[in-house]
This record gives sequence, structure tokens and C-alpha cells, in this order.
Amino acid sequence: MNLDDLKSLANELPEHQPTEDRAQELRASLLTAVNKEQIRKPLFSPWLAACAIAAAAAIAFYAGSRSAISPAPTPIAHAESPALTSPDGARFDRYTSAVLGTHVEEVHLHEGSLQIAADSTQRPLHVVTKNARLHGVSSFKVEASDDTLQAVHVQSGRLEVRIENQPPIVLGPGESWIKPEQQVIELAVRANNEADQDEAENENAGEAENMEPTKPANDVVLPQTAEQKSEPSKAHTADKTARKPLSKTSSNATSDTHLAKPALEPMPQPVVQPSPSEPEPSAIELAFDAGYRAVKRGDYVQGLQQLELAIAETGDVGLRADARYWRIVALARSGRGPSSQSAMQEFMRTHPANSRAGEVATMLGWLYVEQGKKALAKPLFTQGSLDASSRVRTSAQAGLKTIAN
Amino acid sequence: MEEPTPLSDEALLAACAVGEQAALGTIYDRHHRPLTRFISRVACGPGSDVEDLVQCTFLEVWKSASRFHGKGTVRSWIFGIGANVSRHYIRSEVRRRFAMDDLSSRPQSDVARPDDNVARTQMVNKLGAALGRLTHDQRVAFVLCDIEEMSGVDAARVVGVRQGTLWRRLHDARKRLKNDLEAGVSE
Repeated sequence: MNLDDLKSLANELPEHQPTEDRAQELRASLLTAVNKEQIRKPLFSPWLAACAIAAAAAIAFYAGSRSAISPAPTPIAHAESPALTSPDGARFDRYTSAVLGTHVEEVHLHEGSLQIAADSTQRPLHVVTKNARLHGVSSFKVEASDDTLQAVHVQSGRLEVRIENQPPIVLGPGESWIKPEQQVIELAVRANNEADQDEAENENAGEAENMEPTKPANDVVLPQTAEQKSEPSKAHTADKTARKPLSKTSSNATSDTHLAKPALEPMPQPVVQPSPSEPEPSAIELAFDAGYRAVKRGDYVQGLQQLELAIAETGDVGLRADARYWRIVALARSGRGPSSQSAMQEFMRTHPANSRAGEVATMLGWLYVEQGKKALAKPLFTQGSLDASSRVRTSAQAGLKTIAN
Repeated sequence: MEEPTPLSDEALLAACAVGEQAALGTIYDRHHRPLTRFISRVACGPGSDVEDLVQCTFLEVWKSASRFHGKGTVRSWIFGIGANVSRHYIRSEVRRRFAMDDLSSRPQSDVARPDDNVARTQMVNKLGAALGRLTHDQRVAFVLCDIEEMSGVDAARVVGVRQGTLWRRLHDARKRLKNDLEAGVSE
């Protein structure tokens, strides 16, 4: 065999390449990780920092000489940046400026959507588009297209929305602002969804594991159908795809009151939408939902908090099993090996017949192999090799082969 | 409207060094595919979690952006980080941390497809297995020079060794691979 043959063969080696969608997911997850990461990047160049220190010293001297008139403002320079995630890989620029020791962050959103979580302990944050400026201590989702604000949905706190040539609006928890044209499009899409509801349900039933369901464009929390409410446990015990985020079960949500309006009704003014009037999911379900979402976006600390809450409070075995599964994922991914091992052991002890038991058994088996505990790993791989998922079976069989060697 | 001139990789890295996240996004867009291909071959094996390694590499790029001094291309610098990340992954608990937590994201094992040329597929499988038996350094040298077709100078920069050392590793890698394939050593 000559070198060219070798190279030619080498070029045929299988390679792992994510799909375009997956690549975008990973990109968003990377930027999220970078954003709220422990990696603290210097916000200023040394030269700028020196200028800032000199300016601050000058101001402090001036303020000190006039302290009888007004006390110096309390600096909050050490406050953390608000958490910012982009579910769709938004295009934005982030700037930080300092005024009298207070850091103010400004995000220029060009395209896509951002989820922002801020509270009073964090730096003030402004989101700016070409035609609007948002300001407030608030958790909210904002969407822009072509540098123009499209929609805002506030989850908590209060948010001031200033749109060009319009009076300012203050949104509270659960309230949304949607650009009028965008609202018309969404109403039309929802009406269309209603007609196709049965077909969409059939398709959703066959979705693969961990696939995200269709998401409404403005991410308004939509009500569940009466059927869903009456049988909560079936939603998460049916199979491995199990529980999905509550606000994303959109295809059933066509009873939303907005549909009462004609689809092409002209709406010259932006409309502040109130929260849906239907009963909301329980606090435990919301905790699970928040935990699941946090784990998916890589915020393991937040995810674990919410999932622990759901595990502790729920009386629903299926929900508890799902929460325990995602807790395992969060612990493993955040590098807490011993805790994830304990969580897996707990899962196997408490949910031995769960549809995810084979997968968890296989994961635990591999951990035991790494620790040289082959005897403990063998029954777990044996269980995994009977799992319904071919990938779990393949992994478990590889485990059995490793033990045999 | 006139399209703005795209920034060079070097300019984007400089922007990363002062905290510009958008710059990292652009670097990711430009380099994630070749980097994924490289890592999937260096950290070979069905248990490898290539996506996590690529993410770790870009996080390292972000953290280390200020340490890029313009020696060699940005691509080779990123590949160097990827090679180190893969080395640590293979050796340390990171493997344990990531490999088990999401079976569904693992790459498929090299199962032969019925419509393939069976003999050829078997050879590729054998090569994959033989590649896995190389030392990490030999594998990196082979992947960089013979698969990624990087120049010897760049490849030596990637792994931080002199060219002579790199050529020796490459020579050893080729020799072992040929021997394994010709001897019919299989997985």
C-alpha cells in the first residue's frame, strides 16, 4: 500500500458533522456559555481603564469636596451582567459603559430573539433596535428583524418600551407587545394551525427524542387543552420524549382569545396583550419546565435548582422520574461526577421500570467501567442491551464487550 | 447597499480578546466545520463526544484570544487548541463527564452498509481502528498532514513542536498504519 492509497482511505473515514440546525444550536449555546461564563473578559483595554480610573478619581475628589451637598452614588461595578441567551443564534452587539462607577450594558439587537433575565442585583440593561429602546429590571424575551423591534414578552418585573414616534409603554409580567404587522401574520398562522390541528398532532406524536416542538413566534404562554389538563401524568410517562416545555405545546392552543379577531383586521397601534385568562400550569410543572429549559440551554445551576424543586414537591411519579432524568443530565454535563452517579443510582432504585431506565443503566454502567467496577457494570449493561432504543442497546453491548475484554 | 468587508480572522480574535461575543460567533461560523472534522478524527471512537469537544475548543479560543500573537494562521491556532482539548479529553475525566450523558448524540458506530463496496468499507474500518491504536501525537500528526493537508510548518505550530519532531511522528504513524492494514489487523 502506498501513501496515496493510505490518504485516499483516510479521507473516507467517517466524520461527525452536525446538521445546520444543530450547528446553530451549538453556536447559540456557545455564546450563552461565553456570556454568563465564569470567564471574565476584561471590559476595557488598559488604556481605557487608566482613563476611567483617572476620571473616577477626579469625580471622587470633586464629590468629596461637596459631600455636604450630595452623597456620592453607591458604585455597583461588581454587579453581574444580566443573563442573556439566544435560542435562535441572534445577531447582536453588546456594549458596556461606566458612569460614576456604575456599569450599564447595552445590547444592540439586529436580528433574531434574545431571552434576558435580570434582577435588581444585576447591571442595568438596555436593548436597542433601530426603532426602539427597552429598559427595565426585568426578565423578558425580545425579538427583532432587520434591526426593527418585532415583539417583546415580559416574564417578570417591569419593562419600559420606547418606540420611535409613539408614547412609551410599560409592560408588566405576562404582558406582550407585538408589532402590528407581526401580529397580523401570527393571527393568520394560528388560524392556519387550527385548520391543520389534527395533522400536526399526528406529526408531533412521532417526533424523535429531545426534539423541540413547534414554537409560537412570540412565545406567549399558551393555555393547554382541557384534555391535557385532565391527564397530566400521561404527558410524561408515555415514552422517552416525555415532558416538553409547557409554553411550547402550541398546536393545541388554538382556543386563544386572539383568534376571535379577524385575521386581517388592521391594527394601527401596538397592542399590549394581557396574560391568558385560562388557569396556568401548576407551580411544580412550571418548575420542571424552567429546569428543563435551563438544562437545555446549558444553565445547569438554575436547571438543578428548578428540577430539585419539582422532585421534592411533586406527587406525580412520572414527573418526578422525568425531573430525576434531567437532573442526571445536568449533573453529568456540569462535571459533577460523584453527584451524577448518586443521581443515577437513585433513579435506578426508584424508577426501575421507567422507559429511561435502560439508558440510565447504561450510563451508570460506563461510570462503573471507568472506575474498574466491572462486576457492578455487567447487570446494568445487560439491562441496557434490552432497551427499546437501538443506540442504547449498541452502547450497552459495547459495554458488555469492554467488560469481556 | 454595499456589503461591509468581512473582518479577518486575526481581527475577530482581537475583538474576542476585548470581550466581543459577536466576533466569537463569526469565528465559530468560519471554523466549526473543519474543526469538527478534525476532532472527530483525532478523538476517534464511538464514545467520543465531538460536539462537546468543539464547544470546549471554542471556549478556549475565547479565553485565550489575547494570547494569539500572529504566528501561523488562526485556523492552525484553533486546531492546536482542539488537539490539546482532545488530548485532555482522552486522558482525563472529561471523557467520563461527557460521554455518558447523552447517548443519543453519539456518532453512529461504523456499521457497514450493504450497498457499499464491502472490501473498501472493511479497509476504511480497519484504518479507523488502526488510527485509534496510534498514540495521540502520531494521530494528530497524521490527521493534520495527511487528512487536513496542512503544511508541515503549520502542523508543527499546531502541536507546538519542531518540524523534525512532527515529521518523525508522521513517519511513525504512516508506518504503523500501513503495517496494520497490510497485516490485516482488524478491530
